Amino acid sequence: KSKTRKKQYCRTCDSFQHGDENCPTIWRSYLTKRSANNDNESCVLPVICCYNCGSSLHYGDECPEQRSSRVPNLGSAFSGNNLPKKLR
Amino acid sequence: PSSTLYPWVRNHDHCKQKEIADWLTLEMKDLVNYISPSSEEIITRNRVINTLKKQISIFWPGTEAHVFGSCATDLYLPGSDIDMVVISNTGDYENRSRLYQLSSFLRAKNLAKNVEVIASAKVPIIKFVDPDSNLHIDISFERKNGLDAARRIRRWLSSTPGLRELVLVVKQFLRSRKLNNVHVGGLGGYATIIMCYHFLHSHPKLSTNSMDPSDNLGVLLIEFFELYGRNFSYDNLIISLNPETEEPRYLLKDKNSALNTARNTFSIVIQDPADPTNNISRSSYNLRDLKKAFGGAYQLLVAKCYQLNVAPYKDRLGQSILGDIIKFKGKER
Repeated sequence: KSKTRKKQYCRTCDSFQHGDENCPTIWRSYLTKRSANNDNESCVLPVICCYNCGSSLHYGDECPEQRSSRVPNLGSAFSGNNLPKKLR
Repeated sequence: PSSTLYPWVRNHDHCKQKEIADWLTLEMKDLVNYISPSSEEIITRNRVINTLKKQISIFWPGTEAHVFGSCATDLYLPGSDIDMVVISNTGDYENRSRLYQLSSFLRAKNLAKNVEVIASAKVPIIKFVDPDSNLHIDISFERKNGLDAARRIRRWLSSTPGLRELVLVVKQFLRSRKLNNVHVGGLGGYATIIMCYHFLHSHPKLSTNSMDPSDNLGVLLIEFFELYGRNFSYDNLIISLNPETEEPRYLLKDKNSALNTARNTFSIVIQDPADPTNNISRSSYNLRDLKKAFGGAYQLLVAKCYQLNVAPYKDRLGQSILGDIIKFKGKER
């Protein structure tokens, strides 16, 4: 099993978790507003609720507590990486 | 052959889209258009509703009949039931004799066939079928909570772009998996709407106003299934909205025992926005299948995206991304 793993490499993510053809960026691609990428614009503060522990301080992907769901997390929408740059 | 299985794809091919997420977004809009009621259906529904409203107020002066549920919010799928409630000035119409009085009247006036009176249920109702349109109608009595919920949902729909599309696609998905019936542990319409509303308002890109949901329906659909099929802690958390601001939040089951009535820790709890002690999804006991269905939808959609992304044009032509998770049965529209 580990052998087939090693063959996978994604150039977009520089990761061995998946291959180029199974890269989540293929579907997780957002059409964002132009102003959102502009750091001079005033940003709206995010509503944060952690899907794992319920905290309002971090998103579920960054939760320090033990994961409750038994389905593995491959990286999801609910991550600080999805915030505008200046709010991260 | 695929066009008959996925009729919303017919004459709406998006296989030339560069981004697979855009293809999915456009296909969702086509599906929503396809399952949205035709003007003919709207006219039929309005006729049935108005006739019943009028006849009931003539039969019982001092009462008024209203619609609630999906019919009042325009989130109904083709052939969905019509939910009505009779509200009286005196407030005492929810009793056995009234139920039978009205059912006999409707039958005598030829306004109803296949009438069933369910008097001993927690929510007593009359069920029947409109003889002309064959639409199914449920009438309950003296309960205003459905009307309040419909008002709240209508407000959400106008303040939350993308909500209508997401709800309709998720509802159609649940229906094609037969997981939308609360009588057999499925997920009800209101619970589905609250989950979608919570998701859209807590999404990092949407709560910061970084993107327009209507441009991103495809990725949002997959991420909805990702959250509720893979990541959300059903064991520990309650889906809730702040009663003042309606901002999404999660409450701990441990600290809100009044809401957490299920014996099983693996149960879905959604707080009623109008009554903090009420669990909207109390009857949705089949969470195992629900979570599996959401997780499966995530996997199928993602796999299809990967497959179509590398496929040559001739293999993309006429294909459907949603087709693996949504089956549309029923007469052609």
